[in-house]
Order: sequence, then C-alpha cells, then structure tokens
Amino acid sequence: MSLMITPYNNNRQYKPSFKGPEQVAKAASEGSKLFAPLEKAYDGFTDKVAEHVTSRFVNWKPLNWLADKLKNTDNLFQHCMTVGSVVTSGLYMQRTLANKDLDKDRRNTLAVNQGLTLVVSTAGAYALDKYIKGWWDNVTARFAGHLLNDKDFYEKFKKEKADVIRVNKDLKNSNAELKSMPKVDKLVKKHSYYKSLSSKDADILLKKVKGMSPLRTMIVFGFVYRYFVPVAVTKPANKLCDMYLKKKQQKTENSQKA
Amino acid sequence: MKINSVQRDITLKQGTSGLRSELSNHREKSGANVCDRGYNANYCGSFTGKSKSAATFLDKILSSGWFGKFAKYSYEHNISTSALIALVLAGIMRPATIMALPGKKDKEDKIYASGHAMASGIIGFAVSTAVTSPFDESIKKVFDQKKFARGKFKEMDEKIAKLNLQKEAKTITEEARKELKALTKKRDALNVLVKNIPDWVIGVPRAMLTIALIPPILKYVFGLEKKKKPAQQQEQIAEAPKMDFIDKDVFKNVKGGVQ
Repeated sequence: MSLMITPYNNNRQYKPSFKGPEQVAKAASEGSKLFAPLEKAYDGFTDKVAEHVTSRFVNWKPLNWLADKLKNTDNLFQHCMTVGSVVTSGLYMQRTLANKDLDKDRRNTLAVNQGLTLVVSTAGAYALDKYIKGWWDNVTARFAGHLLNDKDFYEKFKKEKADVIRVNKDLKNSNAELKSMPKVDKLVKKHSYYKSLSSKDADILLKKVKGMSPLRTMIVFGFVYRYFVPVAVTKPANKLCDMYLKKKQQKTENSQKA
Repeated sequence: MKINSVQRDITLKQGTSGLRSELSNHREKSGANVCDRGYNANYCGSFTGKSKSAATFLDKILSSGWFGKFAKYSYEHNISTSALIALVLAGIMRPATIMALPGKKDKEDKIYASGHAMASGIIGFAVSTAVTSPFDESIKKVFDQKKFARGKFKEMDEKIAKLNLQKEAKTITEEARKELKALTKKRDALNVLVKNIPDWVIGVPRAMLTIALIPPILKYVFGLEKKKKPAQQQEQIAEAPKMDFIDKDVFKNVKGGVQ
C-alpha cells in the first residue's frame, strides 16, 4: 500500500468572494448612476431658483440697504434667529388673543405671558451665547488645528489671544483704541497648509471653520427656546398667570359685594 | 540569556501581575519615548485642557470626518441645521426630561406632551429642510460658484476681486484697503441675511402646518389622542320619564269611565 502525499498548496487557501473596498466602490458608483437623473433634475431646479429668485433677491434694494447697515454687527446671525422666533411667537400670541374658548382676561394675560417669556428667554440666549463665545473660539481653534494637521495651532491661538488681552489691559488705561481679538478663520487663511491647498479644498476647509460660529448660536438658541423655556419656564409662568387671574377675580367679586 | 517575561509565560504560575509591573516600570523609565509608541494613557499632544480625558474626547469628536461635514453643513444650511438641533432637543431631550420629571401630572399627559414635542420637532425639521435646501443650494451657486450673479452684486464681486489683486500685489492704497474691508463685510452680511430671511417667511406657514399636523401625527404615528377634559359636572336634574305612552293611538282609543 502506498500513500500519496500531496505537497501543501498555498494557492488553495480560502479566498473570500468579498473584495472589500472595490466592491463597495462599485456599488457606490452604481448607486450614483441610479440617482444620477434625480441629481441632474435637482441641479437644474436649483439653477433655475438661483437664476430667477436668488440672484434677484440678492440685488433687492432693501436687502442691500439692510446689509449695508448691519455689516459691522457682530451678532447678525443672532439677530436673524431672534426675528425668526419673534415671527413664530407672534403667531402663537395672535392665536391666543383670537381664541374664543377663553375669556378676555385670560386671553390677554396668556398673550402677555407668552410675550414676556419670549423677551426674557431671548435676553438669556444672547447672554449665554456671549458667555460661551470665548470657550467656543478655543474649541474652533482646536478643530482648525486638526484640519490643518497642526498640533501647535491651538496653542498659538491661545497665546495670541492672551497677548491681545494683556495689551488691551494697558491700552484701557491710556484710552487708546483697543486691539481686536484674533479670529480663527483669519489665522487659518495665513497658515502655510491652507495656502498649499487647491482653491476648492481651501474653500471647504474655511467653510468648516466658519460653520463653527453659527453652530454655537444655533445650539444656544435652540437650547433656550426649544428645551429650557418649555421645560423650566412655561410652567412657573403659567402658575403666575393663574395666580394673577385668581387675585383679579377675587377683587372684582369683593367690589361687587361692596 | 534570561528572558523573564517568556519564562513567566511558560510556567503560568506567576500570573500577569509581574508582567504588568515590569511593563509599568518600563514605561516610567522610557519616559517621553513611550508617548510616541502609544502606550501612555496620558494625552501627548499639545492640546492640554483642564481635564485631559475630556480634552481627548473632544479631540476625537473634532478630528472625526462627520463633525467636519456637520460644520460645513451648518455654514451652508443655517435653517436646516437649526431645525435639526431643535429636533434633537425637542424630540429627544425634552421628552426624556418630561418623562423623568417627578410630579402629580398624569402619566398619559406626560406621554402626550412628549409626543407633541417630538411631532413638532419632526415637522419643523422636515418642512425647513424640504423648503430651504434648494434655496441654500442656489445661494451657493450665486455666492461661491459665482454663477448667475448680476447687477450690483456682480459689480461688487468684481470690485472685491480687483482690490484683492491689488492687495496681493501690495499696491493697494489705504483708502482702497478700507473699501475692500467694507465691501467684504457687506458681502458677508448679505450672505447671512439671504440664508436666514427664508426662515422669517416660512415661519408662519410652518407654525400653522405644525399646529394642523400635530393631532393626526400623534394619532396615527404615535397612537396618542388627547383626552378631552371632562366638562364641568353640572348638576343636571334628572328629568322624569315622560309618560308619553298616553299620546299613543292605542291609548287614545281607550275611553275610561263607567258607561
């Protein structure tokens, strides 16, 4: 009896059929082909919006006047968010005033309650936004450091900030014009890595850095309007409203008895 | 040659504590070099904050790809991002807080309030994104790709480009520098206004749509329905049953009395 010993064949190793990234890339390209007509249609639609609506809107005289007046405002985005909230809250106040199920006193008190809540919460949102701005700028510098592949960027930003604060302290005493605080996007523009990028990549990087500032305001205003006010303010405000109405009713009853 | 760790591994008597202590000794001895090899748990980068673990966590988020995309999205789509944040706050955090709060309030009321918050967050995000996304895309085309620009806006863009060239060539005058600064600021302000004014316009119809859609969404998606408050229990005097059978024909024909 003879035994046949076959040498180990390396080529017969298990080969999975999944080719990883190649397959994923192929599937992705097929997917994009599938959505290509939709993307094309959407692109055409946005082209028309840009041509017939946006380009005209951008040239609208009142808008240009407003932009000219507000160009030096630091809180323009905050103001925009506030106007949006005023419009929405105004609608709710109007609905309260027009609600026939409530008596006149209650309607008025509720509408005033809604208005006061809006004013107080807006003031709180502005204050909170201003309070965390310094910390958020540091976070933005960290983020920019990652984007620029520069671990020292954050430290440099902090140092520059500290220098400006120190210089401004001295300037305050002499009543001279104060130096402006360093801005992350301006420092990014001066960075060698940013300058080495193509205009498209540089634009994307700058948008990421610039997006941090509105993101802070959105989080703060969203937190105040959509979380803090409904959870913590509305209930006590309604209780105060009820107490006021009860007192008023008691007064009228007493005067009628007298 | 004596290799301690290998010997310990072979005998399997000493456990791993000895090996650990040796490793920690090695870390202490090698100092800064260990940092480069990734053994040290302490953060080695230049980003030093008050809490190093918090700083490391923050760095992980900031260096991730999704955060970069999200930051870019927030710059380009102000209204939609605002609505997304509102969705997270009103759709997740608020219901969680409402449900966690102690109180005499009825549990069903809490569930209804949570469902209401979630529904308003979802509608707000869906409407804002659907309406403003094409407009945001068109803004990108006008402002960044400089397509379809016309009139005064086009003139302003051309002037900014001309002055920027002068600035790069260092031939710019002080007056021209001031003009460039003012024009760039105006362009930025215009960009912010154009991106956010649609929110003022859609604010009222969106709120009305939200008010109108909340009850059906609560009913058909969340299976919730607001119970009507019990009407004030008026002490209604129970009416005595009428003796209307007397009016019926059968009884009309009956003639009583003694004939």
